Amino acid sequence: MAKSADKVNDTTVDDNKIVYVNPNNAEPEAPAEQGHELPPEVAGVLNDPISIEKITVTDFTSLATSTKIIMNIPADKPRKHTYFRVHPDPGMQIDTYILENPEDKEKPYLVAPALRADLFSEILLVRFYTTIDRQGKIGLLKVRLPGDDGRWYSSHQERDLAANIAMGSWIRLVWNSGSYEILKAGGDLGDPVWPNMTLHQLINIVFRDRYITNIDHPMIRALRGLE
Amino acid sequence: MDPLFKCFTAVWLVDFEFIALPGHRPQPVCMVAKELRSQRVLRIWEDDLVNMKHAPFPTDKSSLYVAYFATAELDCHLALGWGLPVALLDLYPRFRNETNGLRPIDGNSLIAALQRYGISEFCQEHKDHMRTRILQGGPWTQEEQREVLDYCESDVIALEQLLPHLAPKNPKTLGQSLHHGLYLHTVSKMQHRGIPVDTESLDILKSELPSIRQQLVRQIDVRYEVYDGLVFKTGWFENLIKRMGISAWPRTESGMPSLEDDVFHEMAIMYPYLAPLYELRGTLRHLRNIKLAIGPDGRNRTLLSPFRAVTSRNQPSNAEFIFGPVKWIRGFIKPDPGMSLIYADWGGQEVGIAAVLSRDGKMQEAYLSTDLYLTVAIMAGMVPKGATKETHKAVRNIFKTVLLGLNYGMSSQTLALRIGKTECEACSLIDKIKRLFPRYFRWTQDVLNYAYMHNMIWTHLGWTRHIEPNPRPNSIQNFPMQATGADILRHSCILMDQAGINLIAPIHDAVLVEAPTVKMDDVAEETKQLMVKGGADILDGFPLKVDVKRVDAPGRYMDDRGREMWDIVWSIIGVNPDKIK
Repeated sequence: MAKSADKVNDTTVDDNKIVYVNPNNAEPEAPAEQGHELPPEVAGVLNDPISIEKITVTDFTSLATSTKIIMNIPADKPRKHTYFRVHPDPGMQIDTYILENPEDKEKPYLVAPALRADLFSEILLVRFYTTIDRQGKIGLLKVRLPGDDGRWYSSHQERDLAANIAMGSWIRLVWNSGSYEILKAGGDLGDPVWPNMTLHQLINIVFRDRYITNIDHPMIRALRGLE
Repeated sequence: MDPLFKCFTAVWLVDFEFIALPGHRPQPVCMVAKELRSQRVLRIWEDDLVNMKHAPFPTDKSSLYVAYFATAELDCHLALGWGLPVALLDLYPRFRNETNGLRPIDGNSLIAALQRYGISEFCQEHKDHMRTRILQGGPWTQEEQREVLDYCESDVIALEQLLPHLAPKNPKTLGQSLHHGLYLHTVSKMQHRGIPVDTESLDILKSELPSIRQQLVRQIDVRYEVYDGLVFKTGWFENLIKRMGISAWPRTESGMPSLEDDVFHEMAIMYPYLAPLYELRGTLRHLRNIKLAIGPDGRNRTLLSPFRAVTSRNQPSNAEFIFGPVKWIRGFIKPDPGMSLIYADWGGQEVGIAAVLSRDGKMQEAYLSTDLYLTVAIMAGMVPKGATKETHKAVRNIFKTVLLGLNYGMSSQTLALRIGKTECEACSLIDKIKRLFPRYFRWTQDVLNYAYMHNMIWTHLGWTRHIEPNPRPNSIQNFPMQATGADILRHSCILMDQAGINLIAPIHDAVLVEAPTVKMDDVAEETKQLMVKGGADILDGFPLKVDVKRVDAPGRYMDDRGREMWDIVWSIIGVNPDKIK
């Protein structure tokens, strides 16, 4: 029983003794017209059997694909504990002249062709092979090529040999008592997944801030005792 | 009136006041309902409510029913024998979804929601005062009745003010909210039905509590020597872990071993020798004061608290819910004569969901194999083809730990501890798994990237997590699996409810179902099929695996992990609980 019926303002009591109250004398809105159709998203859920096809939303991870940005690429040789492979495509190798960086062997300077004659006694002719390690990290393997006399530095000849083996096998390159040991992986480590990058793009990253185009480059001046 | 609601002929805002004793069904005291268009208000006291055969307004899909924490209202409907409103919009999950992850300072109550939207005329103190009075029950003076009705009506007014802030913004969100509403039907029905408990043996246990605790310690601590009477001695425990050679036990700031439940649990998994000690600690805590909420009909009922976890999973009270405390307590679950129970769970659900969400075909293939963990071990070259659970149990367990752990970004350090290997070996194992499932691991990075960039992530059914400042990456990476698991549980419960299956409890990624023994074969099969369908509806047709464990009266449910402690407890009491008359 609605016991508070007679004590509430604007209260009426219907035949079923249920109290209807309109405390603020609010204007009732017109009743909804019959026949407004339920939107399919709502109808699907309220039907039996239920359908949720219309209420699923876009998977956010399909919007989230990110691109890994390669910031640095070392340009000497993989560390001794690292198994690596060499890209077998000759298009992923380059022969060029560099100036070694006394501060950091992995960060040599690339020398512009126009300066090579001037810097002939300071620069080295090298071949860079593109490498990848087990974590997918890209690097360059530097091999010093023979001079005009055709003579190899023995350690670099070993590096070159290693590069050729690494085109088909995972190897480690370990310096041991004056020469390199080439250690092939014992198990099947699968094939590497190479990033979709050209050698040109890699070189741009490696030498982004180490490209000597001017004889007044601080590195040259330091080398010649001018600074 | 929100144009979105034009598809309904009426929009009813409803609130009940009720008395709810632990384990009991609620006893409605009054109801106030207001129809938005006509501004009609119904104020109905309990003695009229109980005489009504159905709600005094339409509850079919033509009429929208709006409430806050609607299971309370639905519980009252069921207690009164009324039908449940088909089109139910609960503003509580709407509020949770709007703020999920941001940890609102004042919680998720109706008052907190009102405050968040600047509606401040509602007073928590008055609310507490009225709730206390209502819980005292009748007899009621006329003045008190009017006060209670006024109070109930004030919550309806609050709902009306809150609705514009929390109303779904488009038909899709409305559909998702109504899906939540249908799940709340199942929750209320589960709360109404309750879980059958062997109260005779529970009463014996309660009467023996003081001596049991002492004897439990005597019996189990022999191996560890860390208790002085009933007191756990941290110094003695320090000696124990030293003897065991455990140097990596997490420590408090004062340098003592951390005895937090989570820490102990984790370490007991790493060092199974400590598992009985962990169980003993939980048992002693629980036996100090058994708070299981058991009704007069011998059934365990408690608020299942849907949507309470960040992942939207249910989060019932650990003390009151029989699946909450230590595992062996589940042995008190016992079907009534002529009845059976099934515990049906999705096997390796999180890995299956991860495989689908990341679109990692290899992971999907492994999940669908007969034995996921062994298959991955074979793929990784750690066991030969043809290895079985029996021949390579240890490696299988390691891969199980790795796969489940990687979903929440388990570190190599933790993994090393868990599997009893060096960190280097753990790294190598993680590395192997990363190589096997590169697509999945790229995807987990995508999840993090999106979360960091946009400060929110969500499931296919719209459950959203907002990203708080300094979030834990592991928790973000695990969210899609857990929250999708919650979507799947909800949807499957709706399917089972529509098929007339008697659900009696949801347990993380499982359900407990009750049926007469003569019908249980069919019910179990249908439950399994609907759980597979529930997953497939959300995971683009991918069939998650479902395992079913059955118990027929007069047997009892038993969690394998609790059996040893169950047996110890009853051997101490000296009674066979299965022979109590």
